[in-house]
Amino acid sequence: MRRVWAILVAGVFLYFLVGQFLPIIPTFGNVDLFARVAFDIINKSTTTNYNAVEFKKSKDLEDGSANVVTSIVVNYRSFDTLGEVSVLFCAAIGVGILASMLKSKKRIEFEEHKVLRISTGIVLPLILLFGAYIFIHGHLSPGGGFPGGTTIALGVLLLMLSNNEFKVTNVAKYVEQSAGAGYVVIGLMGMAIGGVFLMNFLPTGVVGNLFSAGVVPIVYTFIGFKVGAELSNVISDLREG
Amino acid sequence: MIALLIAVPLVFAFASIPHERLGRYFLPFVAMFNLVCLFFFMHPEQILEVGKWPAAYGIALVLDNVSYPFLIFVNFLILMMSLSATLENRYGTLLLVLTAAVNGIMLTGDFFNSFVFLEIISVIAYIVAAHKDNALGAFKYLIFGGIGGTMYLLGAVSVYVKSGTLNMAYASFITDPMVVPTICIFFLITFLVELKVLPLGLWAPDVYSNGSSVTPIALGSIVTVSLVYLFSRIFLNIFDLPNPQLVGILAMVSIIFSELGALKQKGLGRALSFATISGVSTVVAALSMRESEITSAAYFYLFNDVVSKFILFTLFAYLGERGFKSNKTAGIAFTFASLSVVGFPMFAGFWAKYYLLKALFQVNSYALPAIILIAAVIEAGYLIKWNVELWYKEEDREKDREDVEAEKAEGVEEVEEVEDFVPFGAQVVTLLLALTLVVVGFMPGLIHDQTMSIANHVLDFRPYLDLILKGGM
Repeated sequence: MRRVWAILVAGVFLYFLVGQFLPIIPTFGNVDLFARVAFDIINKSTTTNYNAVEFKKSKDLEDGSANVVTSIVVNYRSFDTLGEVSVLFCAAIGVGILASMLKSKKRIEFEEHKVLRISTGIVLPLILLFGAYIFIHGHLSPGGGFPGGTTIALGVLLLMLSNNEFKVTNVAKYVEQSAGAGYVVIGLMGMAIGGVFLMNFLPTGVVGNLFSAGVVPIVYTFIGFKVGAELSNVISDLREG
Repeated sequence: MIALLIAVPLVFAFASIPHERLGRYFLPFVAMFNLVCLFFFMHPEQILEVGKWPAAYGIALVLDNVSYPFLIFVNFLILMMSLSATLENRYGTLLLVLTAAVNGIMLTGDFFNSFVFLEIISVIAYIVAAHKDNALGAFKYLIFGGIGGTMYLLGAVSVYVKSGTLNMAYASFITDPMVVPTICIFFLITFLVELKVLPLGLWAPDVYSNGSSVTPIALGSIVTVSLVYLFSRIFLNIFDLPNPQLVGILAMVSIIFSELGALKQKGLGRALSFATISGVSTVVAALSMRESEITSAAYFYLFNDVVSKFILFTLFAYLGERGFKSNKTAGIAFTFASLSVVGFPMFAGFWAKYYLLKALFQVNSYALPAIILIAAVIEAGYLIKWNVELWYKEEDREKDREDVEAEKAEGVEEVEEVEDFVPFGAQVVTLLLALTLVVVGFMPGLIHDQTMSIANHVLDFRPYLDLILKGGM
């Protein structure tokens, strides 16, 4: 009986998707970009008139990120990103609570290998550097706080695999605390200076320069540290049990 | 300024990371801070364009005459829960984020932003549902909620595809009315899951009956109120409800089945869970009528249902299956709440049902009143049965004492107090809420004036649009 219901519900939903929903979606590649807010956001002209944006030349635009994804994620819709940071934060707490609910409190240990241990010593600083590069250059090239932080956490995972004595200390929690609160404080500073929460209160500079885009790189640095510390804690929770 | 309602809980949540217990001490103060801000410093109507980006491009937070009373009610519930619930380590932090998320979902005027807050609420809800080792219930909810959340995202994406903006007011102004019903189906599925309308709400009994003092309150009261708000905003204010008659019939079927389900249950927790499903289904059925008197009555009904279930679930969590003989304060609050749910005169529940039936008769609708009356009879049946059972239950004190002595003999250090099983905070809160039900029972105008004002504003799209457009295009 359950199966019949499941097939019936799936059938009705499929009919809705194919018969009702697909006809109202524009065909692939046939989207009128001018009629969407994305057009002005890509051209950085939501508050000013349209002007062509030139790499390394355009100055003091309303948004200074060369990477258009970053300009949406951390500037135009920064509030959503604050929400996404909270989602990851809650998920990490959830993993911690679930891990503490487990009946067997056995720590996961790996067989240590000398080659892995020594090569980790060489590779680890490079991994951390690469992670930092990804989030510091988030406004210039593909990347940002989330992938950068994940890369750093992967470095921590490597350290854990190669060395059984390694433990993620409480420092990670303090980093997570200050980075998370830092993001909100940046928002509150925007409120204090410009009167609006999460306002970009620093000069946006020249598009394509490292020091440009105002608060965007600062926010991405905070997110990078937060995600890195959070995922390290998740790995540690799973290992320690 | 209104962003503080979201920013402050978040800052405190992040700040409480290193010390697992800190969150639970922050929670009442943050809820109090929000209430003080709402009462003294924030008044409708105002709009905040986050990051100073124009509303159509960025995210706008809107505090209007609809969201304002809802915000006060939800923050009040959070304050009450922070005093009554037993919060274990890290749950305080989670509930701080939940505070930010429910405030966010009620303030936001943006489809994708509301999805983000819905996502936060869902993630927290799954964790809270797993409280007291209730893994199966949480997993069921994860599947239902996951599908519901995906539908909301598809709805938000479709709105953007058709209108070119995510701002709720602009989108509803621009979107082709022909495609709105199709898009709204996605939102509707989410709401039917989250508001527990059967059969999509089948996850609820397993989740709410876990015997925790946090889960049913956080999900059944706080999250439900915020989602009823979002339901009203999307289907009464911005768009039209697709197939209102079908939704009404579905909700009515849900009322009957959940009441029968509640009658059949052998445990109090599951019976109360089914009663909650029935309560919210009644609200959905009434809201689907889109008429101001009925809408106002539906909000009144929601108020009574949420406050009563708060009391019932909190006491169920602490009492378990124990009787009221040794704790009469709890017994009185429990009985008051049950009588209010049934709709006994002198309690808020009476007025909730009276206003609803009166408004329905005025528009010559007879199916829903009939079902509400049948449901009230069934409700009276099982709630009185439970009350009698708990009041006249012979206390197993002797047995408990023997257990304690046995534990002492075995050298167990931690001996639970048998006498005071309801903590002081929970006693005060439940008694206070029970008194509220009585006071509203004598002075229904206190709540009715508010719900009438909400209903009149929510059914009028123009002021909301004007507020966002600032009086012109």
